[in-house]
Amino acid sequence: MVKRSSKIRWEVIAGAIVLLTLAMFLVPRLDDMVMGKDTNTILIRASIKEAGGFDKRSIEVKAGEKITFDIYSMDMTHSFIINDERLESNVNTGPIHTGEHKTVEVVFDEPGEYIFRCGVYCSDLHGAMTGKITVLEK
Amino acid sequence: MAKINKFRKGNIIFVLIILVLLLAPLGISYVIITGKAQKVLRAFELSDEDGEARIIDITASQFQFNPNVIRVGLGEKIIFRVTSTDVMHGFYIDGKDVFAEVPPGETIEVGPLQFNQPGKFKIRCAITCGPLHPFMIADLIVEPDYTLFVFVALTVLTAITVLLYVKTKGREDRILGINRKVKIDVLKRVRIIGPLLKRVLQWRGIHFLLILPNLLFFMLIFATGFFGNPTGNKNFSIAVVWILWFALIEFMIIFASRTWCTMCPLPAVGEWIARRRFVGVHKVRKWFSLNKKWPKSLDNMWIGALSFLVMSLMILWLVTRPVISAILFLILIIMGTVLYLIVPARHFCRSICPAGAYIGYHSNESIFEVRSRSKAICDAHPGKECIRGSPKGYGCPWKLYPGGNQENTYCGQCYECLKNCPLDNMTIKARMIGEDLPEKAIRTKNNYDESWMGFIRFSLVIFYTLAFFGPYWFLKDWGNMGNPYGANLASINLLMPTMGGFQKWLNWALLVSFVALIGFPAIFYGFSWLARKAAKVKDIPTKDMFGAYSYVLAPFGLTLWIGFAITLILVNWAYPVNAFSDPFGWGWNLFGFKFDWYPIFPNLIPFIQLPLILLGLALAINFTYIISLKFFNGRKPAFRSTAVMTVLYTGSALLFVYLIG
Repeated sequence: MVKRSSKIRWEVIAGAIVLLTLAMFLVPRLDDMVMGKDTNTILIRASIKEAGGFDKRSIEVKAGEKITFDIYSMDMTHSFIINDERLESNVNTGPIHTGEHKTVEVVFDEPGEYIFRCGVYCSDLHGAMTGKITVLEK
Repeated sequence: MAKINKFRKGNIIFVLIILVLLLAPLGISYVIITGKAQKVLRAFELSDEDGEARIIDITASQFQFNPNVIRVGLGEKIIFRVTSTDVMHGFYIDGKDVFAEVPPGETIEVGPLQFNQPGKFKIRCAITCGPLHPFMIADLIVEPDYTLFVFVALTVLTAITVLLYVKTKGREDRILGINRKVKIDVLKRVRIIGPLLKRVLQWRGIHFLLILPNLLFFMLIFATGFFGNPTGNKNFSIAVVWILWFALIEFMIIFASRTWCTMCPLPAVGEWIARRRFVGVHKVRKWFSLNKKWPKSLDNMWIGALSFLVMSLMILWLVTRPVISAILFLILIIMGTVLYLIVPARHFCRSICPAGAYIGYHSNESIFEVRSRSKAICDAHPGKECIRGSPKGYGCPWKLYPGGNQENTYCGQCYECLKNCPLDNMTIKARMIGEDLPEKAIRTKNNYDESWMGFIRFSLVIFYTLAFFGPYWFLKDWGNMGNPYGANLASINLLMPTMGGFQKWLNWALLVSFVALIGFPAIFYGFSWLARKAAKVKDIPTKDMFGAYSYVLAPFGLTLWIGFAITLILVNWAYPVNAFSDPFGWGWNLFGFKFDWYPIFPNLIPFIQLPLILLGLALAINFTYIISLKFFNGRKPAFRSTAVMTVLYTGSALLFVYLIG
């Protein structure tokens, strides 16, 4: 009888391990942990507009703070540009090829709304690939 | 002693053939690549070495270069003026250190470049520009194309050499000069490893332990396929399955037969539920399984062969859109589970699974087999635990009689028989390639399911080579339904086929199906008929010869597929490697590596593929001769019919040579 129960124990352990493989579906949730959660770094993933465009399309930051944008291209060569007179100089990462990151640092001094867009033609809806940064008072 | 001498003589001839097959192309490739041939040729061919560079205009768009076939002269200086008409593309030429960026709407100049190696090279896109990016290819042919000329000559020479060999020395038990009947009982004869392997395989946990990591990968494939990056080459589900797994399987078949089926997780869930056990032995009860019988009319490879064909009709979507791959695997895993619960045996693997079908079909060339040591002992033994099962193991889940099994086709290598056998009569044997192929060809000559599997596999290696590494954009566009978008579950609506896209796909589907199901078999039948006429025999029907001869496509096709797999890995190795570090394509870097894409030895690829084509051709001719000997009992008619079939094999080989050289 002892032998039988030890066999059953192995089945239970094996079953538990099999159930653990389902944990693979939780892996996407590790995103924040893997990519780090630095409050002043904003990770934006860029896809063509047909597939959703920038994954963050509405961002709030505080005026006067140094913000680092980390742009990652998912499917095409994209870029990240902000053309605005209120900025010291226009922001342009240059082309970011598929599977690559580029970072750019920006300080917004004046509160208000800023538009960022993709600067490399990437699909029919390229022109609509935009997002909004709302800069709040200090 | 006499036996050993004969074996040695056979070995010498074998070594000579191997020299012709492998070393000659490699030697020639060395001469060409090091430029030694050019020094001689340059004296009278290349007068304009210091002349002006020629300008070639190329437009790049998703996912083609135009013109798609570019011819330049040997030693000519070329400036490529590349314009992108849509998104960002890259410009890379095999063997040249050029990785140029082609921004949208702009024109860039590459060069001047001088081409000193004759032959066919690929111009590839070097910056991911969408789902079909890895297959955005144009041909650059440096003329006069001595490489192709040499390749064609070598192919014809190989065919003639092997024909001469079978005419003078050909014997039923020799394949390319070596005794094909040699077998080694690995578990008994190989020291240390043999007994160790036996203990491992008799341990009940081994099956579970092999399946587990693959189940883990499958779960990751579902997660990445549904939620990961919509672009295939950045997604684990595509990069690892369709580059790494797909290529490794072809090698695994040769060295380990159906070993993939040992560790495949697709039917495992159903098996576990039906058995109510992960590891141990427990009789299948009606409670968890309907215990139905599998219909006899479906107990063959027809559905498997056709499902491989259907999979291939969708292949351009399957290998570029993660969500399509994930859906396919979901369907397979559900089917495998449900079928196991209705009929508690591996009928899904035997008859339905596309991979199971082609792995089984080719596994008759494997150097690996699971057999009884002596069939007589099994036949005389009344217990038949290998069929009925015992407290140590289940009866054969693949519904074979393992003791009397004569072929690899349906042996899934689960090693239950090894655990069951009270007489210690089951073992693993190492053997010569195609040890039992001629016998199998004669035995199952009227099982046309496997014949058609052969035609489908052989036709499709040519279509895959064309669609994935060829310059002909229209073929890719047909298969791709003219769709430029990648897709995961969230963006699956982008894959909604348009009417025009569907019409394009219909072209691809009809062309591939016609060639694989009707065209190639018809040509093969025609040649079988001619072979029968040439042999001047009346009592053997053409359809028997057609059925038996079709089995030589198994070794021939497999060598071509191995060549395809090598290309796939050498060109696209970076994608699966990076996919382990960043499975979702979200910019992760789990293991701290990320490789830039570049092909390894791109200008050597044809020289690696050629020996494989020639080996396949040689095996095909020799197996045809052995099968003919079994049919006709005379060397003369056997040789005549073999000579006729050789024309077809050589023609097929030349077609493939033309694609690569």
